[in-house]
Amino acid sequence: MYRDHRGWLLAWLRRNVACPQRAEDLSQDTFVRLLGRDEMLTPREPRAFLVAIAKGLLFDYFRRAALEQAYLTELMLIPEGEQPSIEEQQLILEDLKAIDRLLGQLSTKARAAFLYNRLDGLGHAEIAEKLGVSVPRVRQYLAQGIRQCYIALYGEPT
Amino acid sequence: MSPASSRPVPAHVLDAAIAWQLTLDSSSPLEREEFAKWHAAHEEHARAWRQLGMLDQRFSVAKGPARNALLQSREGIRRRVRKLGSGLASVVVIVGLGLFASERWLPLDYWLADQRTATGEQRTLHLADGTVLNLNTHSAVDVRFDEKRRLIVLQEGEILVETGHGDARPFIVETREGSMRALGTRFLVKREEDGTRLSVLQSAVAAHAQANPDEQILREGQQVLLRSDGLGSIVALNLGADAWTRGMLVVDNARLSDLVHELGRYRRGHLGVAPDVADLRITGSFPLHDTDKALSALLPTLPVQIERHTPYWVTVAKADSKPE
Repeated sequence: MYRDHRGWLLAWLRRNVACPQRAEDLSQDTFVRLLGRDEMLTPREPRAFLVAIAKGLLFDYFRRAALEQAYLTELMLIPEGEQPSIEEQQLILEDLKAIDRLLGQLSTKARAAFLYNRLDGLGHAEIAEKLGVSVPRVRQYLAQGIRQCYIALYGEPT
Repeated sequence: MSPASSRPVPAHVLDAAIAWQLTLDSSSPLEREEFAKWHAAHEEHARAWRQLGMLDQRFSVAKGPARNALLQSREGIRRRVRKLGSGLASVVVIVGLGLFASERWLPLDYWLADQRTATGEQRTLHLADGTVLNLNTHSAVDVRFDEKRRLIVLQEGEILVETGHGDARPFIVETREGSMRALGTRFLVKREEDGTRLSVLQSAVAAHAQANPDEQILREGQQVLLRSDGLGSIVALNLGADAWTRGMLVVDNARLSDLVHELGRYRRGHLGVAPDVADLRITGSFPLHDTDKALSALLPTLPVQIERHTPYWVTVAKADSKPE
């Protein structure tokens, strides 16, 4: 599979990320992830399969880059004297990425609901209004968020 | 944390604990009493509750800038990834990040671009076909070369293009507003508030607006503003349009507010101009790598003073008005 499709996948990635080094890395990661699977199956449509994995990796990559850039941009908005040191920034970024991973599987609205509640301390009704959904739905979102974080930190409930 | 206290609880206990946590957000005294009973009833209940509490601590780091970064919608990223492989990567997604009010907010397209420069930074890229791309301050491009064409998508900012010779594929620059096809040449493309400005320094460029496929040819020494519905009128090039590639800003009889606005692109924070001096006229050249120096250069020639409230909030004001 690697032999047959590596060149093709690399070309596909190059079209989408343009930076050759990054495309190369992502291509490697795609095959590494493939090897990590228990059963070494040969999918019926190997290219579609590869692209599905590569898209997942690209998504992670974009998300991390976006989060990092968003944080650095936010820092620009506050006075220099109040900015954390470079080391502190790195630590905070690591924490942010960890949080982002915890919330990885949530829908956009569930994620927003959870963050409004945890970070801003907004009540259920306020969140419902902000997101344009019902209060019971907000409770559902929050329960999903808590459950997912719990599983990420402690494992599946027994 | 000891292994025992981090062991997951049974699913029904977790569900109960989550339900309690949501209830206690707005609870009555009666409910609190019931909760206390539940909490004390079993070791697993107390453990689940403790574990949920630990979970909250994870989020305590996210304050101020970190909080804002985390809260941004990820929709734009999802959309972009969904589009992958559709062959239409050049279609620009207009992302609704404008709702983050600040003009310093970077649209998603900027930080997802392949190549970008920070505010005040300039960079030269040498592409595989021999093309040289100069990125001005706070600019972002995607480079999309394939068998059929060489495509540059300018997401933000400004670029100087010097196309490489001897490549048969058409060379195209796209922005949200339109498309520009190089005819063996050197030209500038700049995204402005109301459109894309194309300035041809050498040879010619064929341009068309996004919603109108009719091309118009621009020749050396001409410039035009592309809006998505059409091209503006073709006029003579601004003096020193490409001076930024040499680190200078050149203006000829420009309004002070336009000059200040232009300098503001190269520095972080707010750079403003008081209304009563905004219309003063100025001619000169200013260093872009030291905008403070550029501002000082105004003092001998204009009746203005520079008010620095913080390094991030600077205003050019009338000379006799006392700063607070």
